[in-house]
Amino acid sequence: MFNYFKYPKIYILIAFFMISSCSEETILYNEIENPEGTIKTASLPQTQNKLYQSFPSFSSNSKLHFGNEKDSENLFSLVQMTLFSGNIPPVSLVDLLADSIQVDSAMVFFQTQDSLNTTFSLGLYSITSDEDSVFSDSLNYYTLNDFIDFEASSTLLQTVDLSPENVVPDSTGLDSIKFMFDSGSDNLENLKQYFFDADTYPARTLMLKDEDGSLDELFTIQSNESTNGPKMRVWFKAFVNEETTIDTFITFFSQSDMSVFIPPVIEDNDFNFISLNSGSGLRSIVEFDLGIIDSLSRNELFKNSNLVLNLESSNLTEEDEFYVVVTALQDSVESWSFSSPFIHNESDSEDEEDLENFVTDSNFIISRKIEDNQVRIPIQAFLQGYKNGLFQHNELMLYSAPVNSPFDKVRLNLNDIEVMYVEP
Amino acid sequence: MLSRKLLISLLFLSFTFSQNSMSGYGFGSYADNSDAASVGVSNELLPSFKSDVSLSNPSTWHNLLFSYLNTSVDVQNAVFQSSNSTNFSLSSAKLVIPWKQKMSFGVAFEPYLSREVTINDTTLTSFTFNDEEILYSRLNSSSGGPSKGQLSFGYKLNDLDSIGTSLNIIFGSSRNTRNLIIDNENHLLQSRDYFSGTMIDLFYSTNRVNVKDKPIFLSIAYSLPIRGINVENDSYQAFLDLNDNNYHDVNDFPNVGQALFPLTQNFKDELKINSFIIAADYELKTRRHLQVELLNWNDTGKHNLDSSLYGGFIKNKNKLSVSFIKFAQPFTRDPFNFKASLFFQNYGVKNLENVNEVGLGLGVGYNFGITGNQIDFGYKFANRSGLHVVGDETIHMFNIGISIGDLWFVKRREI
Repeated sequence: MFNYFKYPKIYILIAFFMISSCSEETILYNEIENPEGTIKTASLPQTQNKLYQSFPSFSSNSKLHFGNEKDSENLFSLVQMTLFSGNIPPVSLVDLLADSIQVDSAMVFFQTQDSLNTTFSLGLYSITSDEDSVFSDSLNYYTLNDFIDFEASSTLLQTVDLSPENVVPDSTGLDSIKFMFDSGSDNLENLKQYFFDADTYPARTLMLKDEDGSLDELFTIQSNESTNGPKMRVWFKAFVNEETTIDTFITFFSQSDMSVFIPPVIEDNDFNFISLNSGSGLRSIVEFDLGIIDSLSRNELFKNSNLVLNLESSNLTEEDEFYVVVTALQDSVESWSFSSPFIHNESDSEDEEDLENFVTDSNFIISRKIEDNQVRIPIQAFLQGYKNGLFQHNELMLYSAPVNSPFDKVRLNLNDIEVMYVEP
Repeated sequence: MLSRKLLISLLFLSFTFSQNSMSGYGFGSYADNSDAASVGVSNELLPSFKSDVSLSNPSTWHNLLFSYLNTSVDVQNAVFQSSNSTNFSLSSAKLVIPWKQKMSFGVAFEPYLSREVTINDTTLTSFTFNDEEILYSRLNSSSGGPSKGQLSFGYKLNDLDSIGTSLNIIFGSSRNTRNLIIDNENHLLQSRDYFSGTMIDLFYSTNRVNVKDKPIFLSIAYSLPIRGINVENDSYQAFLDLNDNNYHDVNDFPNVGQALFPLTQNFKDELKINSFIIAADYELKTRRHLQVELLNWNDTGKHNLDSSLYGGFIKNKNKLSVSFIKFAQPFTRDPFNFKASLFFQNYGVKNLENVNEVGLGLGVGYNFGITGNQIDFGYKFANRSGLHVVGDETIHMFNIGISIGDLWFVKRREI
């Protein structure tokens, strides 16, 4: 039988020819065809827009805010403490009122990463409401549903004066703000009466408040969400019997907290613009006429398509950065009038399910910073997705990015979208 | 085994690099004179491998004494405008088995169409959008092409007449890419054509006609489609190739998960090829032959799918070739076949200017071994005029084929 592969040199020669000869030159062409139809442009006009209010959002829950800034007014912060101490065996607040216990002193302390430029007096109150939880979801400052007038239902326990000199973060980046309750002082008695007595005042909630409203800057302390949250330490003696006395301390930790402030007011002029503010939850939805997209061939590709918004007015300073987020919606807007989850019109049902809930579509979410009084947000991905059926609605939601200060507010003018699309 | 794999993979790669300007017409350029032995004579039906055998004509195969495994490869250099392209490809792989000098069988694999061509704009075009100047150019390319699997049968009717037939299965695919380059970003529109079809070739050869007591070998062949070549076209949605890998993936725009599904369209009878060849061979002197062949080729396919780069397709062609060949005398000191030929070819192009081709073929074959092994070298020079886009083109094709003879399927006592 003949061995077909017994001539290896021939095949090596063939392989050499193949490898060495595979070069390709391009045929040059002066005009392929249809040069006019390769790139096209269109204008997508805005047809409707809606200003609405959503729940306020913050860049971080790890801090409690104080101070009045821009058009916002900080009212107070609430910190709820644990009922039991974090020590073994656990000791409850009420246990500290027992006859066998002698509370020597206590300290409520907070930590901050901020330094101060102004001097102000921070007051520590105990909420004396008979509600056991002041962090109810149904609490509504707009409708006053389940409203608790914290300021009226509170007792001042202690104040501390803070100044640029005594608030200086150390090498760890932190400084402590301490409220001391010394032995024999009226303050300690108040603490025992209005805070330790959890049977009478089950809220176990402390209120922190700028006493005279003189803080005109933003000052924060670490919240329960951080690793350096509020704590309360209590030194006491426990008389076990006539011979035995335990002299020790226990620590209570915060279990939840929140800041209460008045955000920038929604003004009539806001309705004339794309108005954005995360503190008040002010957002906008814009509808565009995307009819032209339906008439495009399947191979048209969108390029250079930007949502261009010009800054009309804002409360931003030169140092502030403001990011605008644009996202697609999963559901179409039913009513283009102003709506808010906090304010019910008479015609609205009381049922929460009837409230407009705009669910964003995570397939398109993009943010850009305002620069030179203008923000340009590329939306070709949205337009291409709309063309491909990925997005069903011709509406875009605009809102203030979570990284922005909740007190920053902008008003923007929206131009028609000039789009460029190409077909290879 | 490793070397065989390497060889096969290299041969496969070579299909993707064959380019000439004719590849831009219709579904590509047709391969002809596939085996190296026939390149020198520029014909298909007349003896070129042995003195009475053409590897492209099954009605002559019964004259073989041994089975032959033939492989031919070619190097093609196309010169057009100020550019040139040199490519390598497999041109034929064929196994021919004679049986009792009465009949013969064959199986072959050959490229059928080649679409390897790239064209692009010579200058950048400017477009202004939002006061920004955008420069773009376009680059269109196609590659690949269907192949042909062939089963052949030859039968000797009597001492003067013989017939043959080949069943051709067309299969394979080609790719088209349109690239719009904007500011160095590639916007690709890709499609793929899948070919399927069946054709049959009928051969008849005779020595009944004599001139000066010498027979004229006459051969005719008629090819017709059993089933026209259907094309399934899969068109993929255009995308911006952000990572420049020519492949639509999750890093492109729109990403592949958000793109539309490919649009599949089926086109029936896109190609329906009929051809008729008549050829004559006359032995002027001992082992010196004069050959003439005429070809008429027509495509009556529907051509509804407009995936041609040029916007036109070859609807017919005619070819005349005249050749002279001196055959070797086996087992003597004259083991060489020498071939020379001239051919004239005219392509009728739908929608575009017709193409004319004039060419020259030269070939040398070397016999060696007791089983008549043969190495063939073929050279073809052709000049084409009237080509769309490029105008004139010059082709230099060098073909090398090796044919190994053995007693496969042949009983030894019949030698």
